[in-house]
Amino acid sequence: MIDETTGESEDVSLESPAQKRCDTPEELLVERARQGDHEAFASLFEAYNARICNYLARLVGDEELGRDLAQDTLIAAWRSLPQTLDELRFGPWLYRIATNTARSHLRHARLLSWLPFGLEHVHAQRTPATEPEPGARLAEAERIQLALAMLAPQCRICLLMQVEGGFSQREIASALGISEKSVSAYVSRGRVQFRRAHRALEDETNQGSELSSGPGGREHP
Amino acid sequence: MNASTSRSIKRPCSSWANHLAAGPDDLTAAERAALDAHVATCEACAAARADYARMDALIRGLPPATPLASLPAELTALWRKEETQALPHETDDAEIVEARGSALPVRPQRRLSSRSAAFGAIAAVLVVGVVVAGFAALLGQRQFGPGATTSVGDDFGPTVLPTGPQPQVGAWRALTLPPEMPNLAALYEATKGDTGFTLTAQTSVAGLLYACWAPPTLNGSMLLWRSEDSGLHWKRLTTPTSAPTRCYLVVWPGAPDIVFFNTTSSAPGYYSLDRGDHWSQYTPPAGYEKWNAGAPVADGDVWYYLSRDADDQPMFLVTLDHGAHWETRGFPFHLKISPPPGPSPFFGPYLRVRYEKGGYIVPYEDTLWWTPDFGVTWRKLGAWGDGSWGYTPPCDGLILGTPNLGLLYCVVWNGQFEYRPYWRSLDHGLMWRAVPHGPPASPTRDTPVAGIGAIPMLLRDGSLLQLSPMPGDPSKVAFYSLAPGTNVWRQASKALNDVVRLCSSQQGAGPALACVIPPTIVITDGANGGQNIYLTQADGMTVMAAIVWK
Repeated sequence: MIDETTGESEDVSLESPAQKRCDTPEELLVERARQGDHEAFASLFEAYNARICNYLARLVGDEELGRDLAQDTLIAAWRSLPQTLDELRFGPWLYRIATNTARSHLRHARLLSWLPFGLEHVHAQRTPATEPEPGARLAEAERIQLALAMLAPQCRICLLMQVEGGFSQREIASALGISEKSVSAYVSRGRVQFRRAHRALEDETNQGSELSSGPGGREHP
Repeated sequence: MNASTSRSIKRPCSSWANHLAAGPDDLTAAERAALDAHVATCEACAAARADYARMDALIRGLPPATPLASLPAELTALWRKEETQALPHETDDAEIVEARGSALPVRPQRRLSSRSAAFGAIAAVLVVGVVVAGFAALLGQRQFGPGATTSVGDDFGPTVLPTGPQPQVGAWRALTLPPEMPNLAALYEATKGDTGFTLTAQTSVAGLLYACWAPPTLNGSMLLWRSEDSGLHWKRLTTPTSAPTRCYLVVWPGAPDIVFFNTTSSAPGYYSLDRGDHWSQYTPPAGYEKWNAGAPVADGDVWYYLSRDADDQPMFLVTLDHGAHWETRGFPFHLKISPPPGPSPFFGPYLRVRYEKGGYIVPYEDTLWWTPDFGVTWRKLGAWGDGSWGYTPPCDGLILGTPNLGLLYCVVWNGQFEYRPYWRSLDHGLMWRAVPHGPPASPTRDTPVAGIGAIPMLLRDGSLLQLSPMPGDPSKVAFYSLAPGTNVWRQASKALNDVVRLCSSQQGAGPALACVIPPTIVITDGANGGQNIYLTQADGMTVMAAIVWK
């Protein structure tokens, strides 16, 4: 500190990482990573790798793209970590980066529409690459993924963060910068949209099955 | 549940919809018990809950995506680079990198005066403030303009950190006003704050001040003075016009001997090449009356304005002969949204670049552009994310840097009480790293710097200077400096509360006082009732930073 009488200064002692209060092992890792510790960040990567890849794959509807975005997310997180506050909640923060990475990518690349689109659009997109045989039954996993793709973006994000990410609505609200009430509304709306889309895809499948088993159709296994 | 049963689901009770949508951690035990009790008696809510659970199970039941096999290669490469380079100036050892020679890029068509050339040799620092809230999103993709654009390359040379003694910022004293000036406090009261008194500091020359008094509401003629010893002694100067009504004195750090004198925006302007001893009239560009031109910016003998073309796009208007001829130079990008109407040649929230010395830096979408010659050439300095919250950007705030851009800082308003975090680039903006710490204490709502966001300044030696509360006693404020290229903050002044109190009319010390701290000058602006304190470095480097006290 400076001597008030002489004006001489000395270094200001900055709080060391060890002095900072860290309640959980993750907080300790985050604090170390914030200080530039590669190993600590690698441990955080191990903890969140699968979750973030899952989340992004569901969000953009493409597993490979999800992995690419997960890489971008992790790099962005490493670069941004030093400027974060001590009370950072790493998980929601990482999902927030992931969400923005996905948004940014999709906005720029225009690989997917962020607006809900109709079933006929989905059908047209799926033909013929993922539907080699007319009326072939959609696999359940495909149906779910397609139904997710039909949700409005904010509904999809909130629903996935709650269901897939396991975050509370308070955490989601904090991460996305919206109110808890909005999160609740988006989750509710997302479930309604998901149910409708999933049901429609089931109907489509059933209709296709009936067609395929009818005259001239192929027998479905 | 099959499709037919799902169709029969009734809408749940609206008063319970939020609780039904909640996650497992969102409800208290009491709330959950209440919900359970309700669901037990409500068929619609029971069906909705079961339906939600089924959908959640469907989503959770998706086959897991294959995770990344390892850390991203780009990240590990970045780490390797950090380890192998082991930049001494990125350590906590406060080691200052010695200058390895000039790496100033070519600045064509310059005719510097001897004083300007000498000034350039001491590595004066530029500050370009850029206000770009939402700016990146507002700009288009089109590349155009007369300037050639090149990517930054080896011609930039090595990073050169400026050297020299760090200015002392601890010795303050009140400014002695010119003897002919009436009592400023009484004048302030009599004119309700509009004293007509202005004080202008030439930041390139320590101690060089100009003062002007053009009483707007009282009888009396305009008086003009110059001081070369930080206001200890004043010399009366002749005014360039016999009937001035208002004086606007403008000086620029890139032209230490030049003074511009304007009375109104529509009247002719005057300039002096010898610190106000002799005056000449200059001719602004055609149409200047429409956009309230004021004085041009001067960098040596290059004078220029930032203005708009017919499509409302930014452009430079440049003269090399004191206004006899003006030429236009464009920007390398196109603003998608027209700037707001108005006389200002600047671009409101969309684009505002501020010159100090060394050229312009302008962010355009995810790219940092630099022109060292006011629009003849443009260079790409680096790129970052799209500005979305959560990652990057290194800069949507204020850029501070050396003339050759070897050392750049980006400081971002944190939305609360201060500018932080800081990002630093040691390679001309190609790569940015966050500085992990700010000054040791952060302002709060109750500290003397609350709400002001004291803008950091870059000093001649590459130090970043910031006014900040003192740890342990946040009621006191002091300057803290970040040693160049390191993460070490030092206290750079003693507590400045007395000066703050002296200079702030709100704190009872009287209005419109001006205080000098060699080589830093703090001026209270009487025109705003002492609400603004202008803080500037008179060491040839930076800065005119506005601090608003609330």
